[in-house]
Amino acid sequence: MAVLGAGCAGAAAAYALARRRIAPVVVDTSRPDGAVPASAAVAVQSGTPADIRLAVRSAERFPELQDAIGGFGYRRTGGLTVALTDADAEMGRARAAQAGAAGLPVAWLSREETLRREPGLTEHTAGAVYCGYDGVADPGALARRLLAAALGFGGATHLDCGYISIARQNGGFRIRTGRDEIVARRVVVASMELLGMAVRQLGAGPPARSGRRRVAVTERIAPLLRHTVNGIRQHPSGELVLDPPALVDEGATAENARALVEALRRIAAAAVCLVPGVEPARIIHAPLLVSAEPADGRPAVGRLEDDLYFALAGADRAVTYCPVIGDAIADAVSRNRWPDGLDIWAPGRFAVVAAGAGTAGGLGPDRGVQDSSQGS
Amino acid sequence: MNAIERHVVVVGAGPAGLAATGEAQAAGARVLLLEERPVLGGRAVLVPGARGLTEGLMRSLGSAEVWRSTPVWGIAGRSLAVLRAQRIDTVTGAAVILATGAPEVMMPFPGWTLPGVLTLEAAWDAVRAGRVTAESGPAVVVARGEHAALATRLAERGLAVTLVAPDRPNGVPAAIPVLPGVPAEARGAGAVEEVLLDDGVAHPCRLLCVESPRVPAVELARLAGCPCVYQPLLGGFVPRYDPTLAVHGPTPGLFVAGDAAGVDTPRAAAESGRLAACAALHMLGLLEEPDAKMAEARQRLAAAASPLRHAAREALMLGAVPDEVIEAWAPRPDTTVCACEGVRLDALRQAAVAGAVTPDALAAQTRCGLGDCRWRRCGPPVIRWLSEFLQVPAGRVPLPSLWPPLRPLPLAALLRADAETDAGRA
Repeated sequence: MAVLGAGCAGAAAAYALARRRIAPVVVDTSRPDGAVPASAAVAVQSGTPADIRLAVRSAERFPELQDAIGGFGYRRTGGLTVALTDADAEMGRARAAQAGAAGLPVAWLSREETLRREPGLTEHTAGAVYCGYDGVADPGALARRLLAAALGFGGATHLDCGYISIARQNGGFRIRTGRDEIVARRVVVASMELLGMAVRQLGAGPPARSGRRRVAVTERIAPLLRHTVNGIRQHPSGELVLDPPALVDEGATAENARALVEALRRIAAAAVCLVPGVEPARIIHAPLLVSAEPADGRPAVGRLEDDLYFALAGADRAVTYCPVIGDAIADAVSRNRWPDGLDIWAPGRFAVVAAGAGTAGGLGPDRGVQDSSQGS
Repeated sequence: MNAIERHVVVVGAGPAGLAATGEAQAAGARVLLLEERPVLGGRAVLVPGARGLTEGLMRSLGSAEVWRSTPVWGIAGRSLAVLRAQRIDTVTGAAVILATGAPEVMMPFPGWTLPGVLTLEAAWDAVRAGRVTAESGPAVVVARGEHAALATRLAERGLAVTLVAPDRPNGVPAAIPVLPGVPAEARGAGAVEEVLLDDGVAHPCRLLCVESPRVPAVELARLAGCPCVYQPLLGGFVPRYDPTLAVHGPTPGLFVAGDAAGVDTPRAAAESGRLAACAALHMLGLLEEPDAKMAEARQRLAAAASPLRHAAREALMLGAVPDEVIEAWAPRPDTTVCACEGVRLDALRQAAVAGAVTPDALAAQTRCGLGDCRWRRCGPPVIRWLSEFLQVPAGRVPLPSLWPPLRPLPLAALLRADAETDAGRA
C-alpha cells in the first residue's frame, strides 16, 4: 500500500491504515514542514449541513487523537461568524436555525451574548453564528505526529524524494522517486498536485482548481481573542493569524508592489473593523499560500479505479476533515465499505475528465506551491 | 498611499548606494535614495579610514532626494513598498539598485543575548547617538586591526576599556590594555556584567562589543525572485549578476552593488555603486559616451577590489573576522541561537536528529527564525550549523522561505494608507 502525499490527509490515511495493520509507505516530494507557523482552523461552520455533520464527526475525534499521537496544538476555541449589518444578521440567524433544525451544534447569538463571549469584538456587531466545535491546530505538527504514529505501527516514509512518477505494473503500481522505486498493489493519492501527476500518467481524475491567498501573521500580542472569529484566530504563542475568508489574488506576476500593499491593506482593514484591538499590532510575515483543490472547492474522497483511491481535503479544510478522511480510506481499503454520509464527496459529482485534457487544472510538476495541508 | 516614480531608485546608503546615487544624480537622472537607518554612510562608519570617502560621497549627492528611516519591506518587479514616517508608499524605479550592505551577524555564544552585548555596528550607533557615557563602562571590545578604533573612541568617552585582540593594532593608545583571546561566555543578571574569555579569566564589563562576521543582505533580491547562489569568495549567498552588476532574474533593470554583491572594502563598494549606476543609466539611455564610461567604471572597480583576505572558506561570512575565529565557533548546547524566540542549540539538534534538516523545518518545529527579525540574526549561524550537522557545504543547505513584509509592518500604517486613498477618491 502506498500513500502519495504527506500532508494532513495523507498522514491521516497512513495512520488509519497502519492501525488496521495495513502498513503503508508514504511518499512525498517534500515533508510536512510548512514555512508558515499558522494554525489551521478546525472550521466546522462552512459548507452544507452534510459537510458540517462530517466536520463535527471529525472535530469530535481531535481530543482522543491528540492523546493517542501527541500534541499538535489542538485547542477547541469555538468559532464565531460575526455579522456586522442587519442583513448579515438575518442571514446568519436563518443559517443557524436551518442547521439547528438539522440537529447540528450551531446557534445564533444576539449582539449582547456575542460581546459577552468575545469582548474583543467591535461594538458594531449585530450578532454571530456560533459553533462550539471550532478550534485551531498546527497542521504541520498534526501531519508529523500522524506520520510518526503510522511509523510506529510499521509504516514507512519516503519524504523529500525529489520527484515521483507512477506507472501500472503487473496489476499493481510501480512508483519511481528521486531515490527509490516502490512497488505497491494499491495506492491512495492524497495531494492534489500528486494527483495531477498520477492523472497525467495513469488516466482520469477529478478536475482541479488552484488558488492563492495572502495570510498575515502578527507579532505575539497579549490574549485578545478567545474564539476563531471570521478566520481571525490567536495562536497559543500569541500571534494573530489574519486569514481573510475571501480569496485575494494578487496576480502571479504582479509587477507592482501596489497589489501587495492592497492585499495587506484589505486584510488589515477587515481585521481592525472586526477586532479594533489588533490595530497596534505589527505584521511579521504575510505568506502567499498557493494551493490546489477539487474544482468545486469541496473535498473529494473515493476510488478512481479498483486499486487507486484518492483523498483530497481541499485547501483550507485538510485539518478539519483529516480524521474522517483517514478512517474512510482505511475502511474502504480494508473492508471495502465507505462510511455513511461520505457519498457527498464521491467523485461521481464531477464529470471526470480523461487524461491529457487539462485535468489537473494547469498544475505543473513544479513543486513551488505550498502543500495544501499547510495552508491555513 | 503615494505611488512615486523615479528613473533610478537606490536602496541602502552605504558607500555603494551613496556612490550610485551621486553618479545617477550627476548624469541628470531623477534619483531617490532609500535608507533604513536615520544616518547615511552604512557600515563604512566602522572604518575610520573610510570617513573621508564617505564624506566625499555624501557631498556628491548634491540635490538628490534622500529618504532616511525608510525601510523597504516588499518588492514586485522594480516596484518597492516602503514604510516612511508610519505610512506606506510604493516607489517604482525604471532601474533599481540594491545596495543593501552586509550587516554584522553575531555568532552565538553563551550570554550573547544579554543587554549590553553588541556588534561593533550597534556599538558605533550607540556612540554616535550619544547613548554611551563614562558610566556605560567598563567596556570590553573584541576587534582586530582598524576596527579596534571603537576601543579608542570609547576610551575617549571616558570608559575603562579592555581590547581583546591577537596583537596591539596601530593607533590604539598604550593606556588601553590588550589581551589575546575570544569571548567564551557573557554573564550577568538582566544585563552583561562580565565576560569570560577562552582562557577562563573573567573580565568585568557593562558593554561587550564583539566584532562579528558580515553577511550580504539579499532578502530584497530573493523576494524579487532573483536566484541567489552560494559564493564563499563573496561572503555567502549573493544574487547572480553579470559584469555590469545587473541581477539575473525575472525582472530586467535590477542591479546590485557593494557588500550585498560581495564587494568588500568601502572603496571597492563605492566603485561598484558607480558601475551599477552607469549600467542603469546606460540601460535608460541617460549615459553619454556609454562605452567609454562603462569601461572606465569597470576598470576602476577592478583596481579598487582586492581579493578577499580569507578566500575559499566554507563559512558564510564576509569581511573582517578571520577564518580561524569563525571555524572555532563551537556553541554550547545551551546557547540560545534564535534570540527572538529563545531557541537553544540543543532544541535545534533534537529537531534535526528527528529529521528537520532545513531552516524551514527547524522553524516549523522549534519556532527558530519566526520572530521579529525573521532569520536576520539566526539565519547565518543556523545554516552554518546545519552544514556542519549534515556534513555538506553551506551552499547545499536551503535558505529559509521568505515572505513580505521584510520588516515588521504596523497594521495602523496600512490603514493610514487606506484613509489617504479614500480621501483621494473623495
